[in-house]
Amino acid sequence: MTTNKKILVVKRQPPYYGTSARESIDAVLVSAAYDQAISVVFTDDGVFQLLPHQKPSVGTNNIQKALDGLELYDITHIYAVSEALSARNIDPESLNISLKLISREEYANLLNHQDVVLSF
Amino acid sequence: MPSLHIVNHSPYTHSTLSDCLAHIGESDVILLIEDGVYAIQHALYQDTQATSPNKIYVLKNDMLIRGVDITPAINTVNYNEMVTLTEHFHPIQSWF
Repeated sequence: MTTNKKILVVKRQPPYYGTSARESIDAVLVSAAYDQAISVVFTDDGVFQLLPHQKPSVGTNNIQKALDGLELYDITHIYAVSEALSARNIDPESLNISLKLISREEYANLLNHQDVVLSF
Repeated sequence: MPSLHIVNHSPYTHSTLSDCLAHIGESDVILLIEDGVYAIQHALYQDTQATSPNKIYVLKNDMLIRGVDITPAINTVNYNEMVTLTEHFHPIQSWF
């Protein structure tokens, strides 16, 4: 019997900063495949991963496609920190995946209830 | 449960400590390790110490390695005490 843990994946890096963005999504999908209670939060420069109309060159990780995978795996607890979006002048309506906006305070509260945090 | 946040970069070149402070709860604590220990002379550390003197811990080992002055006001921890921190705070988030 597998243990069910509350896992939080925090994405703070921009999309083309090494392989961090891609690897974080792999971690999310694997956790979901093993029935863990997974939450994903985009904050700080991680919110740049959510910009629509990204056109990475051939051979570069396509973050948009990777993020579509979240929906396919029925991952519903996806959040973005609103202060991070507004500091970067990103319109929450324009983002390329459906998610819930949370404040930094709500983030702190969400964090306190997790078992494990994976930072990317 | 109140959480532990580990910061390993200097605030003079990285926004890591600042980002961390902006995201954490009232009862959460921060542990400065590696280059994070350089923060003790920085306003971010000093302002937080002034209002919440038991919020930030600093790994003594990394201060000694870097020649950073250890004064009584700083909440230093050795490795054993760092482990104790991980037992009392949950979960642990690493900031880099």
